[in-house]
Amino acid sequence: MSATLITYLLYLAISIALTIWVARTLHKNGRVFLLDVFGQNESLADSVNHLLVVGFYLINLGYIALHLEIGHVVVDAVEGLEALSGKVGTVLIVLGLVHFVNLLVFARMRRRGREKAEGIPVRPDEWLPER
Amino acid sequence: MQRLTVLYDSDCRLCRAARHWLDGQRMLVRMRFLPAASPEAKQAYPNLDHDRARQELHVVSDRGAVFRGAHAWVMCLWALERYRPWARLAARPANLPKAERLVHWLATHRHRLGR
Repeated sequence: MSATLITYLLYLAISIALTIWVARTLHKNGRVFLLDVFGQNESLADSVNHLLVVGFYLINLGYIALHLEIGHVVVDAVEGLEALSGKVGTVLIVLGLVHFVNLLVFARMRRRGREKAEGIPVRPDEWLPER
Repeated sequence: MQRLTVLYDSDCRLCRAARHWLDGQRMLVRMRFLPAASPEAKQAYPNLDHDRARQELHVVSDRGAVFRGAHAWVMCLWALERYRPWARLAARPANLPKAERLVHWLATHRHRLGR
């Protein structure tokens, strides 16, 4: 097995493991938020949570796949490590960005949910007929 | 609810001052102000009792809900970012009758108060 191939395999293993870890964290901790947003409706919260995590996986794995190619032959361990750290570092930053976007989505959903719950405080005295 | 229309008494100084105060606040729900029983108000709400709107504050939502007197005041406060908690407080069953008495007193004495 060539050094380049070993670098690729290591890159894939590390990146995929990181993606799985972040996705699980998101899945586990996002549920509480979503339950709050959907008024403790568990099935809806779980469904949205699952869909968000699927999107997260697709974007990250897609990026990891696109970003695989090193473009030159790796000759020794040092070069392999350098290439690997560059690749994994970019993947980490992309993971972080997507993760924050996800958090933003959660926060916005929660705020919307609360605003909606802010119904009018008094009942109308009369309704005008529709024109 | 996207917008509230406030029908106020433009012949009363206190009411005009209140309208300007409301207009200067940051709003969670947009408000527009029309003088009660004015041609614009009558054109906008042909089915509304405009004689009554001249006597007490009226607030009309974009979906046709009409609020009068204390209810109208609560809705005005509720539309403001800073005073929404006050609106909730005033709207409590224990407080609403007091608010109604206060608003009624203000409405009957408004011309004297504004002088």
